[in-house]
Amino acid sequence: MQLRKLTSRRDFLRLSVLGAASAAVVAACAPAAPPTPTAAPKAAEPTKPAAEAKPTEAPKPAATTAAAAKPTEVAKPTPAAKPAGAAQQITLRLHARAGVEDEMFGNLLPKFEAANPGVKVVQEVFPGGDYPQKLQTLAAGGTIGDVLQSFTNSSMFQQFFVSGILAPIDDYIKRDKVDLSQWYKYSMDACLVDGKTGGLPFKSHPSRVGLFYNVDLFEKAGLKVPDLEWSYDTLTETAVKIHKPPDVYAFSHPWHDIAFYPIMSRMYGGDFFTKDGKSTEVDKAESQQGWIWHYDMMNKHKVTLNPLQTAPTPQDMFVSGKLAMFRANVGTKAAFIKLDKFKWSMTLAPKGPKGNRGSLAETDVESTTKASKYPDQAWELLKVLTSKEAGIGLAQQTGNRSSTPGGRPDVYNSPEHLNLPYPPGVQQVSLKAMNEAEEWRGPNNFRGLEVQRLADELSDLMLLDKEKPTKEYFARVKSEIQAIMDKPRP
Amino acid sequence: MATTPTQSVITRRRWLTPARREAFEGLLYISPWILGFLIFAAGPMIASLALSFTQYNILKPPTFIGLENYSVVFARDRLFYQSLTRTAYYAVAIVTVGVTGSLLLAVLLNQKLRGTVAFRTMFFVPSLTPIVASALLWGWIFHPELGLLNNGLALVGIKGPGWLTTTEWAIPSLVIMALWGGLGGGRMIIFLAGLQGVPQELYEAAAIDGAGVWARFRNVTLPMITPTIFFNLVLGIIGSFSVFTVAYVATQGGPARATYFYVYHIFNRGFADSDMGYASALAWVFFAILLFFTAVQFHLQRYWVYYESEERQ
Repeated sequence: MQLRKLTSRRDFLRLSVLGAASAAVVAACAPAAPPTPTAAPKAAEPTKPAAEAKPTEAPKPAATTAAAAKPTEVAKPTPAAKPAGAAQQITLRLHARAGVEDEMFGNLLPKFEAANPGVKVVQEVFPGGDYPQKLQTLAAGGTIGDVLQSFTNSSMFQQFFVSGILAPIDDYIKRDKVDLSQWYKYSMDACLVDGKTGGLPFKSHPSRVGLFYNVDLFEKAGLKVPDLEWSYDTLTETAVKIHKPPDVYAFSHPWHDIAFYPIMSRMYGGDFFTKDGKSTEVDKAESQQGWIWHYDMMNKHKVTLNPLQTAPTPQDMFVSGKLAMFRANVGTKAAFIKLDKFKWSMTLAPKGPKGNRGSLAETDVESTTKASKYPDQAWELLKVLTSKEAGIGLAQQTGNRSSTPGGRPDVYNSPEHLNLPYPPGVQQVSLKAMNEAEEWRGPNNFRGLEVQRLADELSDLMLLDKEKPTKEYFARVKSEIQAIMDKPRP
Repeated sequence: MATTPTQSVITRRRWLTPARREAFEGLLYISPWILGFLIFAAGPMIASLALSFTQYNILKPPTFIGLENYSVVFARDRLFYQSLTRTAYYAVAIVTVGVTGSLLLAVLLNQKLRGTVAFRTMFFVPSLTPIVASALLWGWIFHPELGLLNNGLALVGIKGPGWLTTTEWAIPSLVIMALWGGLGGGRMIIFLAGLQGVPQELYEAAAIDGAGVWARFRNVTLPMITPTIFFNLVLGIIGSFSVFTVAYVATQGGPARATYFYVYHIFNRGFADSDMGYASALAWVFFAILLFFTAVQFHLQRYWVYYESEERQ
């Protein structure tokens, strides 16, 4: 038998390609592995405060359905039910945004694991901007984790819940006799969809009701700094006096923001959505006044930074010392905690004639998923993540991370929160803002982002003075937004 | 004693001719690419075509709805036409100025002068800047009051426009941004390669016949690089119609949807509104439009593109 040469180039290539193709086919046919756990980064990427979930709850601890029974304090991590088999390790996959709450998770999760031997929590973090899409993809692919954070403003939480991704927790609440009054009422209400509870409040804040100001600029101009008694007229008059571009710009406010349309509409006592979320109230005169005020500030008095300019941001302008006042999330203060270039402080947005400042209780929700193989352990983790300790840990985060506290009165009122090293009075004002926060409202059909895009287009036309804020303009706004709100749920 | 081949061996040998064997081996060598294409490109494309006939919000299984999505696209979605118009405006500006500019830049950089290599590098470097970084940077430059551009214009007595904050100047601003990175990028390199492929003897012959610089450019250079121009034109149109990142980062489609491009519309409908079925329909309409434009260009090329090896009647 003639010995064939097995090492010809052609044969070598043939075998290599066969081997590579076979490996590719085997890899493609292998079952999908769960995503590799990623450690939460220590140096967090800055996340825009606007991307935060928004708190929606006024701080009154309302009586709950479980009030009759003895309430269970959920602050301490309680041991989860041990699985059968002494050596079995349970891994819970926790989804979160990269660089936003990692400091708190880093401190809290080891304690949970220590209190629950055999349970390991693996964080899977994703960039904030891609977070909803990433979770949608995981859910569509059947690889969603055990516990995840979602947001009410963009309707992400509501959609996930009605689509069956998130697990209702009413039975667990009843079983463990959880006292729901430990969270703000509006925060808990935000976790309800169609009468069922889809999660617990992770964190809450009163949205863009903070009014930050540069004390030095006011002193230099010989003007009184903003205070809690200011009206919108006072703000306008002061802005006109202090506005001296290019050295000093008077005021800036949010724009292109799903939360800001309700806030703008509430400034003078109106609202953007009805309570049931099926209609818009922008056709009411008191809802329109806030829009007109912003129009006047931009086009009549010409004392605001153009909010359509994405760079530099109002925060950038404030830090540079050129911006006298700007309206933003109360939590934005975390970005200035080490700012010592000038004296600064924060009060609340002025009051309208009916006493409203224009706020919106916004909430991030922590939920367990229906796909979780360990629902009991996931529930225990959920309770820990929404505990007082977690809420205080959130408030104490440093750097560019979110410092929005947990959605609980005992967190907002805690010495740890009130004594954070902000300028005098800032934390007390934050507490007041949360106590006065107006309820969260959104579209019943979960099309908040679609509404926002349309509202952005129409409000831009007004801001750019291409449309005057007349009755006809608002009739058009009402009609076009109502057309979206009349659509069915996606 | 030699063995006689069996009948099956003889049949196999007749079937596996050298040509077939070579073809089979060629396929085998490119099979990893084919597999990748099928799994990661063709498969999703077929899936998206199927999804375009469904209502699908990603979180629940798709529901067949026939041609409803396409009906909405053409008859009820005003943003379809608006976004297409804005995209076409952007594409026309980018392609005409971009292709012309890249060609002229390539002609300049093709001169045998001192420092040409350094200039080629300098012009190419902006194209390496990530789009996101470029958008953020230009956001600052375009600031109406604080930006470099308007402050520079003010020095010569010109009051600059609002750039990204006005509906009239938003798209021109994005065009400027794109040209800064695109003029000296890959397109210029391709033109350079094309220019360097023009036979020198043609220039010499033209010069002997008394042709000046412009005449040589018009009658020798341009005709000889028409294949390169055609290539850049086709890719330029496809690329410019696919504009998304710069609008997503710099303007979010504003102000007042002035930069609400078609792909951004697809993104919003698919990922923001969770209407993946409708977004798939939009994507296939987009594919059909681009295919049409490409087919038209391929049809028209016979009238103006000259291939050296081509024989024309």
